[in-house]
Amino acid sequence: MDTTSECNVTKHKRWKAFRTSNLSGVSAGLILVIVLIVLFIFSFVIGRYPVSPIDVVKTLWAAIFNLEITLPPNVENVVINLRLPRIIAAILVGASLSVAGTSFQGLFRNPLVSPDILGVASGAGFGAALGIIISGHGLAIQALSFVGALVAVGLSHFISRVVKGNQTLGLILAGIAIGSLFNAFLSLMKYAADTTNQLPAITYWLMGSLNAVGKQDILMTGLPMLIGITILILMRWRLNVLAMGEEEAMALGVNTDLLRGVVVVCCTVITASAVCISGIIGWVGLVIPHIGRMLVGPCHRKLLPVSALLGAIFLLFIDNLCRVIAQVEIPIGILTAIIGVPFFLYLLAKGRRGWA
Amino acid sequence: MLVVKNACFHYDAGKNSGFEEVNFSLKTGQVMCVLGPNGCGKTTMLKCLLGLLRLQGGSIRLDGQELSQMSRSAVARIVGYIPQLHQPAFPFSVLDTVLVGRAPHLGFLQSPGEKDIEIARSALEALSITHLSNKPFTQLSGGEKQMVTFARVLTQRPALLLMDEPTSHLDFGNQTMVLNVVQQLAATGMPIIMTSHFPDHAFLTSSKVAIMKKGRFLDFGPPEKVITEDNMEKIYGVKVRVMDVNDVVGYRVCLPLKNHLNDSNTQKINLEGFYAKKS
Repeated sequence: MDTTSECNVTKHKRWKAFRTSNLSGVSAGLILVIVLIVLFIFSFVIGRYPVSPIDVVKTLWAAIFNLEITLPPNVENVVINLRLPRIIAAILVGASLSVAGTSFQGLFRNPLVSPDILGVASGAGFGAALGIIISGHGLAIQALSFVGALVAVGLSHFISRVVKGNQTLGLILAGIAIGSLFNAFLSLMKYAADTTNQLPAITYWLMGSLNAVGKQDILMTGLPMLIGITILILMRWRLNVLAMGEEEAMALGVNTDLLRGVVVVCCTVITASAVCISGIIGWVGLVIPHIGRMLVGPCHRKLLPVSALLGAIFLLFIDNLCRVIAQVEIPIGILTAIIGVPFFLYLLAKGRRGWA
Repeated sequence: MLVVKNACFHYDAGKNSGFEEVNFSLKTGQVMCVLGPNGCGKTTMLKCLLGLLRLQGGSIRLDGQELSQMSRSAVARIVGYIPQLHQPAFPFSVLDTVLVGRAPHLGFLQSPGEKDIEIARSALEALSITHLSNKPFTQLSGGEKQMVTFARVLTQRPALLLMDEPTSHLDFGNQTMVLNVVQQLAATGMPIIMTSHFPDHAFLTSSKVAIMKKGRFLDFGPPEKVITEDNMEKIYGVKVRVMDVNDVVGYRVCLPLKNHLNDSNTQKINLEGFYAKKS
């Protein structure tokens, strides 16, 4: 009798420990997935052309399984051709920026780091401005902003190799320097732009918007974003090891150079892919990781997937607001901050910080 | 188990804190304590033994295998390391911190599974700190943190343990507790190398002592032979007495002498002059 009760006690203890350590991550993930699905359906409903949630589900169902639909063709056009690409873009861009932010914060062991730290945004901004001035064609702008982002991070990485000593610190310093340089190039582009068409176009691009995203954009940028996010999520536990410190991670057998390289490449590809279709959207990559840590703690096994979901939900929600809040579309980069900052400060005031 | 022959390493341009002509060997269950002033090359030597730095000459053999020919994760499966205490960047739970010790046993894309969590749990249990499992590491006391670090290194399942000043930053009680753990680990057959600033700790735990100065071993052997008044003065530049208090505490102690202010070797500070100038 004694042994069975003892066994029960240890079982109970184990179950309790399991519940407090792991299930919180699983349940948080489940709740977020449900919220995302509901928000996903709901996002089709809002807008000028009215579509009922049931019609949305029917249309999507039919599209997925290639069935005949009995709904008016306008519904299909609005749902599949107009709203679907934009909604998918919001989800992908939100997830990409948050995953990149979380990974960089882990890599640099610093909660103040955002995906822009290596100059991605400045490089993309300069590339886009260049595209607007020399061609003005959407595809050229996208391609040049993507290339600009890669060039900026590539330069940061190259310069950091020259810096002696601490590689991580060298990378951050190089990133800040390259970021400033590309910002200056961007200003030069603005200065050279004609003020009737090009300058406003550059300015709007820099504020960010998912307004112009079409099927083609998703097909081109969706895959790199998904691949990058998948790789980062697969190797996320290594970020825990790296957070112990470079030397300790090495002593634990981790190839820190390889790890850093993979993280930087993946983060750069997903951020550049996101930015080139959405323009500059600040704040998401910095703050979503913090909200994630408040929810499930700092362990990257839970944090990275939760960040991806949170980022997707947050950006989809904000983009919906952009669409309906006023007669004219509001640039998304403005609303992410106006909605995000008070919410974040509220959480801070409640004392749920999760980084100390 | 461990054989080091003619090992030498220097940071660029022959600065201090490299080492040369280091020879020693260590057998199962032996604790080796490395004593020496700051910057004498102790930590550099540990880093070479860990494979973090490559020897510039000589060899390190682990169970007959040459260290420089092993991959980093292969070394990490054999050699465990307890670094000096420091704060991690994020408040990981104790269990997550301990799990990190599984890193050398997992592939690049692998996360720890049930088996690894079980190993981490039993390591916490072995050190009787299961109650800390879900606490944030950052909120623990110094002694608790060091125990968690021990649990982490146990999870790594190494065959050799290296420790860099495991008692620094700890209060008196926790220092003794840590040395206790060291002795018990050694009793299970684990060979241990630790650096220290306290000759007493060497008497208390070690079967071998190396004293280092300017990158060289001045002496190596059992503590009773190596920790002598002469040797201590040679490496630290202070006069000490080594006393046998075996019948009182069970080991020898090494204490610095008091009141040799008139001794010509003592470095003098001119406080009177300092205060006079101030007024």
